[in-house]
Amino acid sequence: MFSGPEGVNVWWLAVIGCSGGDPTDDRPAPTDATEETGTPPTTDPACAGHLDEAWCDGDDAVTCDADGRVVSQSTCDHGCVGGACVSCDAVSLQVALSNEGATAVVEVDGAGRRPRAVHLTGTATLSVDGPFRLLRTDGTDLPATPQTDVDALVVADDVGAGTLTATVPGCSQVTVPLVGVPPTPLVGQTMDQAPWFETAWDLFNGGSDAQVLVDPDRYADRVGMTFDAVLVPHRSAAEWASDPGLGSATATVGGSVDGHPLPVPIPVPAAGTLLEGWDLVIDFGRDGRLDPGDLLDGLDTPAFQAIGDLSEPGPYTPRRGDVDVANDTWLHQVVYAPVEIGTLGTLPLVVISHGNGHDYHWYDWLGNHLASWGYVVMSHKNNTMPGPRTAATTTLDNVDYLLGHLGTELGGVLDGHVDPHTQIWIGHSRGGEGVVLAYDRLFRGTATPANYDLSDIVMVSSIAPTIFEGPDAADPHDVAYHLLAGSSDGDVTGSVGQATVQYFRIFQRATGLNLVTYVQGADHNDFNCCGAEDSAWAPSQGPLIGREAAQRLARVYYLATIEALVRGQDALWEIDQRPLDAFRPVGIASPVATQLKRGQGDRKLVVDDFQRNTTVDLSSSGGSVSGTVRDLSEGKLDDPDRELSWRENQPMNGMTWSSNDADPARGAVFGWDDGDDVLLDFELPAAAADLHTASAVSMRVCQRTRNPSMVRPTLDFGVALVDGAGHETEVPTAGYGGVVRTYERGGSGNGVGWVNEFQTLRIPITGFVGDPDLDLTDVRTVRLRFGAAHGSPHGRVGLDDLEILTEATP
Amino acid sequence: MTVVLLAALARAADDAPADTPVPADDGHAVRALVAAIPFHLATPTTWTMTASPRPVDRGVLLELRADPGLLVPRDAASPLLYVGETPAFPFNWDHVGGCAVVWVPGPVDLGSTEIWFGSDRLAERVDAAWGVAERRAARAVGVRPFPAADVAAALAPELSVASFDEIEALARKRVRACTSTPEDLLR
Repeated sequence: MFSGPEGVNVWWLAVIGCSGGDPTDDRPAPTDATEETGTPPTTDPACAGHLDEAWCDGDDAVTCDADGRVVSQSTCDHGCVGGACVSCDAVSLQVALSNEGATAVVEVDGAGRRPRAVHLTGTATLSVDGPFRLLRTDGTDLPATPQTDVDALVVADDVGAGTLTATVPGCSQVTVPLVGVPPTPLVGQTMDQAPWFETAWDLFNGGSDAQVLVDPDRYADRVGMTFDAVLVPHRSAAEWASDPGLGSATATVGGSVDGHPLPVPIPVPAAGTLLEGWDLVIDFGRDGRLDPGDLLDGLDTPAFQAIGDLSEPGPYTPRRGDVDVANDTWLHQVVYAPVEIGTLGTLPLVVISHGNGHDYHWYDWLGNHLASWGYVVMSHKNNTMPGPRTAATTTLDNVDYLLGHLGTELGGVLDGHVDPHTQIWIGHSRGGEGVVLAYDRLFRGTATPANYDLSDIVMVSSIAPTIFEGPDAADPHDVAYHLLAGSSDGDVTGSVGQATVQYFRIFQRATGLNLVTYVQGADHNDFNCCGAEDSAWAPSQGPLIGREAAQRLARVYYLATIEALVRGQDALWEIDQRPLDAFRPVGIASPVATQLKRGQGDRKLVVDDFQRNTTVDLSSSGGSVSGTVRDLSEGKLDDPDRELSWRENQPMNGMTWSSNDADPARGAVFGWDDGDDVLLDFELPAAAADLHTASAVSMRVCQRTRNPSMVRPTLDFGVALVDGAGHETEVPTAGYGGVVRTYERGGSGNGVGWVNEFQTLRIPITGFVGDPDLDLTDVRTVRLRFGAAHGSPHGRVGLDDLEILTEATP
Repeated sequence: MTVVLLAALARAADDAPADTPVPADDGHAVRALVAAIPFHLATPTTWTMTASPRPVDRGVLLELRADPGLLVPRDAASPLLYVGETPAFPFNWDHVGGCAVVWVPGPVDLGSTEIWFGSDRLAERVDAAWGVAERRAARAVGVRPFPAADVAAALAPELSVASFDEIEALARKRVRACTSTPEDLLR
């Protein structure tokens, strides 16, 4: 084995977007011995231009003296190189960092940025077949002529098999088998069940361990080799090209490619900023540099991103100031902005509209936080006492006033530094309904502020909102909508008994990107500094988390969601979409049920949202639904008797997603008992059978409150794909996060348990690809399996929005 | 107090606003009229505790003592304090001590006007007819105006001020002096 060419340039890493086509324009000038030199003609034409030289005239080896006379000339049997006949002595061919005799694995890269180094010993003509190309080490094409003791590179343009061959005409031929494979992530997390190792996620907590796996089945040519796994701050391809050295890497661990998959833990460095991207190099040469044959996870995007504690302040210093308009009862604001705002360009505007009995000065916990991360935050006095419609007017007016007076208020420090076209509106309680009503008025054109319009609002968020006006008016339409609520709320309780506090009805109506952060143990006034201890207003509560924990958690979710939405930090969507038992960001200790639902038509196939075809045997997408689960029922997600006592014959107990609403939310419920091994099949539309480019199977699931089969702390089951040949691959949900039990709060009937807490479960398609027998281009059925063999031995659940997602997050 | 509060909360748990008002109070929840300060505004303010907001230039600032259980600040539906046919606008929620500082448009003849906790309909949905119905329902359960002597003792001379800002400042001052609820001091 040799370790590869020393000192070659790394042009392959600098080529971005190159198709790998004809590179001849950039080639160095040829230095072939046949090049014209301008030497005057000699008496012997065979020596013209070759005075005192041995050279090849085709297959003839010609030696000329200084006078231009032919000293010798002979026709070679096996070709001529450098003026001498090629001998039939043995040649050898080696692929760097590959076991002798193994099929050399070449990662596919259209731009040729993942080459393997080869070395020819002796003299021969190199060639490849299959989806491969041969290049010189400078990136130019290697000519199909005999070479002697040459270093070269093999690149793969596509997946598939092929060969690398060294040929000596008429005598020997050496062949190395090749296979082109797509690059695969190397950093992931281990699981206690299939698929055992998952690489779909990009986010890791700083200070935790990530896992590195070089799959011996995939990289069979490396089995037995040792390596250094090295984390390097993310570099672009150009940066890697200019410096292939691994530098003073932050984390290096040794490992080896063993006969069976054995992940190696590697410590994730603490994140000093919001997100820090890292590349991972598997340095087989263990020489501290990225060479051909080493593996690189992170060429175009980081291998993963590390986050710190998002509840902690950001890099800027927040400053607050008051805006008070004389002789106007409701134009009063406190504005939070970074001290450094003058150097930060224009910043998004976050608006906070408080609730009834609250005060606009009670949101320092959020205003200072977001200002420290580069936002301008305005919290305004809100006229909530008359009701949310009046509050909506106050929100509209305060935003308009601020945007119309940026040049004069607060000494003009905001002038030119607020982006009016990127507004996030957050409201609490009646203010939470008010911001939705305000957006609806902009949507309908019944509010026409002077200094902004509908398109300027990029996200609306409600904290424990009321819904006095019902979802026809409290309608977020297609704006990104976020709902934050607590299970211990003593005021806007979310109760089945009171339609005006069933805030999930707002979520249900929204048609855009739609998120829920439902916090077990948080009460209404935990989300301001100073309101009354409302959790005590309920007859009995489960564990309470208190104001500090609730606000810490809310800072994490708000920062992550807003950064993902307005600053394109896509990795942060994982905070909204991964259950906490699968990924728990620093700063969050309590149970949270999160939901993230893409907007209508947004890169997804809705297999069944239960809104059409309302019989249990037909999905909304038109496929059949069949199964053996117990008591399968489909209907309105609307608790009919307005209390929570468990009754087997009342399937929608605890559902608060509709309340006698027009166009009600619908879903399915069912169960299974100890000893059952049951399933529920959803037939995929034929046009949607090809899932090989899909990203995930997604669904919203809840445990049904106060059912005697409640599973604590989380319920699990199996998600399977079945292809046209009937082959089934099942992935347990357990590795991706289970379904939380409902919060154990009393009242509203017998037993404990509050309203049903739907949460989003996503099973990445990567979870299924490990089974080579599954034909992902021909998936006919999504099958949900229940019972001890698949997860929890019993359960009573609700199901909604079974979807196939395409492309990447969110 | 507890009985009254639970009754109010039970009503708040109903799905939809009742078609007819149901008082949360039988005439005993508003216990004392401490001060009544009529005022005149040179610059009108907008009265919003109604289905039909309108500018007003007169009003009365009231300081009351009431059942603290009905002074809990809530976002969900909760009983409104009525002065005659008009929901009062509160400046505070002293759910510990029971001090309530509120205002309503004026003038108001407190000698003939009942003050009580009515139904939980949102103020922005209260029109004239609903106000009349609330008052009729209150009278039916025995709500009566404060005695003339109480009104006379509480009534102050009319204030003439430039704008409602001054009334708010006065209200805050009275809240600070009377409340037993810490968060009232933080508004």
